[in-house]
Amino acid sequence: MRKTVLKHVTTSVMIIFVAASILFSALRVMGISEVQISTKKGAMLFSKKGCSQCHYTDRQTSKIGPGFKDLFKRDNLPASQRPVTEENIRQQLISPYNAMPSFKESITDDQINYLIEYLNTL
Amino acid sequence: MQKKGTILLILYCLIALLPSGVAYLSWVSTKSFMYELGRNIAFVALMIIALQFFLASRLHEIESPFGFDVVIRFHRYMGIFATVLLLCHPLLLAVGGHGWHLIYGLQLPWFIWFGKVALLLLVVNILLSLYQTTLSVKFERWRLIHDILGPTILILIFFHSWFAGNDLRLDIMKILWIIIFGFTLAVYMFHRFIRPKLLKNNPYRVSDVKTEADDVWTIKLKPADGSSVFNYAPGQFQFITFYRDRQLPVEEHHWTISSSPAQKNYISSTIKALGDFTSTIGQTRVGDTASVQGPFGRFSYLYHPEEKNLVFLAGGIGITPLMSMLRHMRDTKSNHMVVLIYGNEDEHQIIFREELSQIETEGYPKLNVFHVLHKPPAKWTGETGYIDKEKIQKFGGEKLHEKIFYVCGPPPMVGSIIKSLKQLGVPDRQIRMEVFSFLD
Ligand SMILES: Cc1cc2nc3c(=O)[nH]c(=O)nc-3n(C[C@H](O)[C@H](O)[C@H](O)COP(=O)(O)OP(=O)(O)OC[C@H]3O[C@@H](n4cnc5c(N)ncnc54)[C@H](O)[C@@H]3O)c2cc1C
Ligand code: HEC
Repeated sequence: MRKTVLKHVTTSVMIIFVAASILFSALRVMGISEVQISTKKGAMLFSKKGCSQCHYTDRQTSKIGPGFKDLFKRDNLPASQRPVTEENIRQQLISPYNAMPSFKESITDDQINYLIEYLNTL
Repeated sequence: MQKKGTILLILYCLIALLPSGVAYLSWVSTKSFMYELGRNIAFVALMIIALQFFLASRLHEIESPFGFDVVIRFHRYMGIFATVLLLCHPLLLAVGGHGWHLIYGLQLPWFIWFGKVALLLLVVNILLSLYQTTLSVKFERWRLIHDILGPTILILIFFHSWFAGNDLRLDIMKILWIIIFGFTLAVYMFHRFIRPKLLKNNPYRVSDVKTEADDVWTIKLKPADGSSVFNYAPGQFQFITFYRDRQLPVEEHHWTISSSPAQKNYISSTIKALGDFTSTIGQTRVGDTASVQGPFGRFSYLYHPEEKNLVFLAGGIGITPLMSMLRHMRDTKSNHMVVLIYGNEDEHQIIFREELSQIETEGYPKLNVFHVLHKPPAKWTGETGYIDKEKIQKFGGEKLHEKIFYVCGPPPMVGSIIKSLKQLGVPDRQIRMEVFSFLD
């Protein structure tokens, strides 16, 4: 009867939804998404916006500002010593901790996301 | 029809998974798996809730491949499912790194509170819907509450996700959100306000009121502008709102179309006084106007043209869809073979008795009617008791397993007949039923 079919179909839909949520979450956490693309965009922005003039990406020593090698593997941000979180990095770009210029007017939310993405891979 | 249904179902799943998909493609996470899961199930739940409005809005394209009852049942199951997902959402975020103050903390931003209130209203909504009979909430009141809670929850969820959702910083997600919520509110407005207006502006007029039996009347309706009635399959039902003035209540109810679609001049519904509203149906007069929306449902032999050997099992007012089919078979001079077993409490309650025996003698379709009375009068020579296994076997004729059964009546009767049919070994797919309530 239609009722039995409906029950099977509904159960399947629910299972699909839960499975897809788990899959998306796992993939996202493992970073196998468009991450490569985002990273590339981030890398481009890193030089386009001038970050690279003041920051190394392949070592931890300072250029003008601190180097970012293994940034996300550290506990604290190099200058301010605040924890390494998306939020704190976002904060740094909008209202910098000390001498770094603010990018508040010259950078969009999306671009910040891509930059964080990129920093995450260093 | 099957193909259309499958496509709609796939579309449903794809739309529901769209935000998770877009978010995944646009941005990676630095959060834990649990946190991400909390986020993704909220996306799915939010989409299910948005889609609920489409399921409930009686759109022909969505309803017709499945039938109204199936769509409404699906709506109910998915509502419960979305609520369960959303109850897990804050828990997973808390476990996943956000911290438990999200659950018990009071110092939370307003948009988190929006989410909490939405969740509370959702639970209230579900409980009210599932237990409306137990809680003795009147149908009309329940419907009003449901109609207010739905969009309230939707709007709360919109603001909650817009401001709390990390992914909502992405432009593409913002655009997606505006499209989703815009469409959903639009379909709600259409269903609740615009279409009722349109239907009211194209009213039907009562052209005849006929007493059929104790507490049963047939109301004939014609389009007020003289046009022909909409197309329908015999056995389908319609929503009618009567505007009768005289301080009579204005409520929308669903009744089977009891007329035959072989003629397009009028539609009729045969209505039994079963409760508050229907007890006023006898006061309907010729000339009263009504809004009519239809047709709905898939309970019709016309959807299965290759099946010729049918058994109709009706209880009381449940005869109406079967009557529409029989009238249509008569009008089209069809060669179907039909056995009708028709159960009633007593003799006065038998509806359409003469017309049925007339069809029986005329021979289109080849019809055999068997009346079963629970409280037979002294001189009654027909069957007594209820429609049960023995009677179905006795009157159903040879090769019962190859016949198609159409069952309609009050829920307990339909339930017991289905059980009998299963005991007789009739396969599931040969049993079609219509229950006069969407609440079970
Ligand atoms: C597909 C279908 C076809 C039907 N065909 C017929 C028919 O041909 N003839 C006929 O007499 N009846 C038919 N009914 C039943 C009819 O819809 C109800 O009897 C009527 O709505 C009861 O209204 P009431 O206010 O008089 O009853 P109430 O006093 O409100 O209650 C009686 C019962 O009906 C339920 N109910 C009340 N109002 C509504 C509503 N607007 N929508 C849904 N449920 C409601 C209540 O919850 C309760 O269980 C059909 C029902 C369905 C689902
Ligand atoms: C003009 C040089 C200069 C430029 C250009 C610059 N920075 Fe900096 N950056 C600094 C200095 C100096 C610091 C040390 C902290 C401070 O002064 O705010 C710093 C610190 C940081 C920190 C660490 C903050 C902390 O809390 O420890 C981050 C992250 C950072 N910069 C990211 C960027 C990014 C991304 C860009 C490009 C959009 C950028 N910087 C461009 C000079 C610069």
